[in-house]
Amino acid sequence: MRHKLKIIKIYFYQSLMQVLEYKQNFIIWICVDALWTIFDGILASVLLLNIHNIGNWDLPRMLIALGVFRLLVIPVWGWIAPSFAEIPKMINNGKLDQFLAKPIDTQFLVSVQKFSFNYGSSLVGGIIFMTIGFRSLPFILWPNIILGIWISLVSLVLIYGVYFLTMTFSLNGQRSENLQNLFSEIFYSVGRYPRDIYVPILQRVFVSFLPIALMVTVPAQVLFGEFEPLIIVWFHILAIFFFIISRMAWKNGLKRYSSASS
Amino acid sequence: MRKFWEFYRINLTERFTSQTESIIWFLTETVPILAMTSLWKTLEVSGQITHERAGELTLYYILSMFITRTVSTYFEEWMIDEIKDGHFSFNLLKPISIRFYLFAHQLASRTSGTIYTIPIFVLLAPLYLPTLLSTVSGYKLTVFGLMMIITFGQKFMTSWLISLASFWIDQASALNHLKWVCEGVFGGSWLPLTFFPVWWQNFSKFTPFYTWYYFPINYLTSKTVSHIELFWAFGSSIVWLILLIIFGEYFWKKSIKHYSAVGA
Repeated sequence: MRHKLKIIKIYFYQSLMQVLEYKQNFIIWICVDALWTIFDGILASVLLLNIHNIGNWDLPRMLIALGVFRLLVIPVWGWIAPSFAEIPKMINNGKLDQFLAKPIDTQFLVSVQKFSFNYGSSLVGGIIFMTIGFRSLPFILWPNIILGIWISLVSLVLIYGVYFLTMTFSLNGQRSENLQNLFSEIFYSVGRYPRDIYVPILQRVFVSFLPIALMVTVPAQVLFGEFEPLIIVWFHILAIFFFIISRMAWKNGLKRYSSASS
Repeated sequence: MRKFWEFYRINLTERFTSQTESIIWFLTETVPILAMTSLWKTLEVSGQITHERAGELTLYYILSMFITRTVSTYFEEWMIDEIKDGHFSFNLLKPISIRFYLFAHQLASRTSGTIYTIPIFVLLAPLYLPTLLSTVSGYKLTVFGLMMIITFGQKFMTSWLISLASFWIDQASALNHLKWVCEGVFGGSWLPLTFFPVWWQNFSKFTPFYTWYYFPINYLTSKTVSHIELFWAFGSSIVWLILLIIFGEYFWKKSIKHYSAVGA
């Protein structure tokens, strides 16, 4: 474990050094993140000012959900996405072989190879959205906030599992450099709305088959007091299931993997 | 012209060979639309919007998906990479203009994009066809088709300008995000502009994005678009296209002079 932490630390510092070397890039991407954060705020406000409720969410609840989304964006696009984006490239140019030859778990190595530090605006935006949302609610329950933090961490495990599972398809040999966009695009467009808005067939897909509709909504619902014990249990089961299944898919994919250079 | 069609044919074959990538693009573009369509359907069931309004909004998103699939251009990401890593030099040595090649490439890409979308349009037909048939006419379809050709040109030139920016700035792909956000807030790709305040809608009319999604869809599906509005939209989109071509040409000349390849 200590060995793995050391490797994470090395990759982390390597990414940080790149940021410090190319400060202009860092500033540009901070601005891009700020742009998306503002865009999300505008979109949610405009939508809710016109239709008042989405499912049983009003504007304050939507802002809390948006806050959770923006805060989850930090580990998703700051850690998982940059690392996973390298996988199809590594498979195509044969660099994955170098990782396979190393005496450490390959899944671990491909998962921590890159970090991004551009998501300061998401952090600020997420906190602002949540503060505005909570101020408009009649009550704040501290146990819910603590549970909400825990559920957000479980959500992160679920996101990792589902995202990694999609990335394992890149081992099938066909060119698929855009595979990394699949999860992030669907997560962005589907994850922010309450799951009740989806018609039954889409609900089945986004709750059970590819549980993207739960990743943001479950932590958000816990935060504003809509506690559903069955969903919470189901959420934990899904997180463990997808983590295990993605690992199995990766290992099976590696057995079939033939390097680009071989 | 023969060269153009030969490039087109090769690129189209390539698109159908790399099916996984095409299917991924298809999913990334259709799932957000399905999510929004589902939202309007649910709001209709809960009585928050009328059946007619839900039909209009569903049609709006399906047409928006049609526009994305048929006229959106996506070459800037790999062009930026090619310029940054120096592979772009090969294009300069070829006896064919890079823009000529890119145009054929993008046309092939959009052809395959449209073909991949046909099944979903057939599947969703009961959701949009009744509303579409009640407003559409041959004349409107012709105008819509012309606007799509202009939109393709504008999108192509915007992608070209974003690609050229990488001759000057390292992170030109950041401009792509700016384009997506502008498409969303001024073009109506995420939400119809009628949801926004009137001053916002008026401002949008002065941007090129206005005629990418909102206006063509509104024109096709609404009975209230006047000839003056149509004239304004058509005129402004042509002016924007000309401006984008002029900027594209100007920056291309500047960029080539500025360019020094890796290893050179």
